[in-house]
Amino acid sequence: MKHDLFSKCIKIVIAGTTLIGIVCCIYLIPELARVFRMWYPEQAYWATPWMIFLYVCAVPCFAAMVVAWMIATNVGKDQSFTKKNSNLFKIFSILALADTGVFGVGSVVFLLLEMNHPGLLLADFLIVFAGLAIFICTAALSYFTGKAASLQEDSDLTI
Amino acid sequence: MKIIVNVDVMMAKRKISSNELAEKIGITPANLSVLKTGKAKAIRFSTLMALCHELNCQPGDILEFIDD
Repeated sequence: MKHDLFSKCIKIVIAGTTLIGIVCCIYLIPELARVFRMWYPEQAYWATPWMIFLYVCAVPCFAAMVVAWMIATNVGKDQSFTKKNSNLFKIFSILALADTGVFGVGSVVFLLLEMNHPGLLLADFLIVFAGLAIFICTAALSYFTGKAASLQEDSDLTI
Repeated sequence: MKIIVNVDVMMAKRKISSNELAEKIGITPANLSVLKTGKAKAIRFSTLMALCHELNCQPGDILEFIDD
């Protein structure tokens, strides 16, 4: 697959994922909060803090989509193996780690404040596990892209 | 510590332009410029052979080692 076609495919996926994220933030989260308040009136006070917490955790996700778009743009220009792309992957990995850390710590804090359920905490740790996996993969990609950029530079400057 | 490529000197002696030399040795004028300005990290033996053939010289005539 050519780099420009690959870049376009990646951009379509990123745009779709961002759209899903926006729909989740605008409709799904408030709707879930409303249904939760309706079904569990005794724990209705959980809804607003959790909503705010989820919105805070969504911000790094949207930032990561912007970074992913920039990486896809560089791939489209046939500049896949560059220091710039390596740094973008590094930023992506930091965003993943930060978001995962905030989400994990927040879930535990909510449990200590008696605004969480142990069963829900288990699901939260699965999300933390997925976030850590993304962090490891993007950190590795950053390292390998940096190494490849050095090789590319050596190759380009070999006459 | 560096290696200088003195292509300019030999080009002046043989009265050949950059574009002409680049075409004869099979590299782009941009790559020849990279070589002349000392930005090249490596040179292939095939390129060095072609340079020596076109400029009618030895590798030592165009490559100079400078120890800082």
